[in-house]
Amino acid sequence: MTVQGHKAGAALAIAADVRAGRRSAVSVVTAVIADIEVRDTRFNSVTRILGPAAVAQAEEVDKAVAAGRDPGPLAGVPFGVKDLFDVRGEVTTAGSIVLRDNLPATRDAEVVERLRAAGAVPVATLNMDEFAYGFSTENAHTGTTRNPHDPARLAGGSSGGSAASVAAGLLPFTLGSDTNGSIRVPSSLCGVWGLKPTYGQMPLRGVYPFVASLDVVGPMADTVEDLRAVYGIMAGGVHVGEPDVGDVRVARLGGWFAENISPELAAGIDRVMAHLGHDRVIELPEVARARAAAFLISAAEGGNLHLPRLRRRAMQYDPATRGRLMAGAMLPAATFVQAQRFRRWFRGHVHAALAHADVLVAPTTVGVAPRIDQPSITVNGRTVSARANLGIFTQPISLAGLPVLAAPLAVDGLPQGIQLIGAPGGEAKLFAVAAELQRAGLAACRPIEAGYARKDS
Amino acid sequence: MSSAARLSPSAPVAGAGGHDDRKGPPVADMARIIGLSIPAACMPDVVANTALLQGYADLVSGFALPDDCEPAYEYTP
Repeated sequence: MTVQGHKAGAALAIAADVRAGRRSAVSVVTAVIADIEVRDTRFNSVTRILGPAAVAQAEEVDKAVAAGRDPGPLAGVPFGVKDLFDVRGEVTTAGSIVLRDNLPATRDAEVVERLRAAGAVPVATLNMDEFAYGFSTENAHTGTTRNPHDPARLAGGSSGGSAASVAAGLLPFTLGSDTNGSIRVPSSLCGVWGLKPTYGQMPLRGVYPFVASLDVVGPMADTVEDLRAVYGIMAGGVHVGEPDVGDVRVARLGGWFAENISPELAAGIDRVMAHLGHDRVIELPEVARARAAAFLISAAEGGNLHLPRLRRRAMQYDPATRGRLMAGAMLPAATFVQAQRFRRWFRGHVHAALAHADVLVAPTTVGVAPRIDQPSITVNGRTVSARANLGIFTQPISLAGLPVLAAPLAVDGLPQGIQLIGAPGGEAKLFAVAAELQRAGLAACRPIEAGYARKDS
Repeated sequence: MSSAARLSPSAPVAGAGGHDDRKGPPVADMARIIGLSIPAACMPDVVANTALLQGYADLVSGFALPDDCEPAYEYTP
């Protein structure tokens, strides 16, 4: 099967096989679960396997196929969700023991509901930083997720389990959330495709919140085609257009976004810009303050959200999260309001920049994934905490609420990624550029071992 | 602007909270105002994070905004 001129992604290939009766949904799902049980011991990307419910749903897909009914465009495709999406019958933990006594969800999160209606089968919940507050997926309750390309290194976060399970080839697509970079950072460090849609576009019903002003949810996948298909279903079945990439004006972000990046990453961006035939460089103003504003808004809203529980049982929280939430809860109103006013100011300047380009290219992180035993990066000659600073290029964009497609560069060695940043609602142009980079071999996701693609079941 | 010194505002040298915390924000007082009791074991980390946020707050507050620049509560990208 081909999709829009390209070889189909793994998810679409599975769906094509199931729809045509070449594979059963039950065989796909049971094989994926078995693969996770065997191989995820190395990566710790999965927190729960949804075995009986997944098999039961797969049986329904197979019945639909046998009866000649349409099983949906993602028939029998297994997927995983960051453990902050409601899955009916399961307790949504948000990566914490603080919520473990909550009642199980009585219905799916809206985006999960839409994917299930399209035939996709949730098979696992995935690891994350506690309450999505971190860039590393180091979790005191559920452990650290390891990077499949080098298990001695971080997967990034907070949607680290979502990225690692795709990079490992355990799942063809997953769902994550992105407040300050939590889809983009792990996508970059694990070498997978990821999409942070425009703020406000995706329904958040059934998604455990972190920062209402910034939260979005989106997919991560092994190909642009799968990413686009899943995104379209998550967005309510919208058709994602495909403008001619030649008509898309592309520029590179300079200034803040050109500093501190590795030579290999800089060369990768050079190659991308040369291939696309654009040499314009745009600088956004006051990027350091934009990052600071996103940091403050996150701290204040996250802290306020958890304040009632912090008053009663603070010691149940992950130590790495607790102090940050407490400090955020105490932020003065004047600080929070100033940050929100600055956001308004920054929005105006971002829109002015977007008058000159449809897609802005920027690095996602400064370089490759840090080692777990040495979780630091170098910024302006200083060694700083990876956990706090991996998002230096993603947080300013979060403040503006823009859509961003995280593209994995096709590089030798450890993965590195770039952000393709669009105007609000400009996802189709991001997909056009991403598809061209994939077609040209400049960007690629290379799963370690795609267990779901085996057809021996 | 140069961001070098602003990336990770320094934590205070002293780690204690409360009235004697002259090098950092009055964390114990701030916590009391919102009904939060900070366990002693957590205080150094909360103080460090409060100082970090204060650095970012200084950065944002150091930028003059026009009076008609409203907060982005109902934000549309």
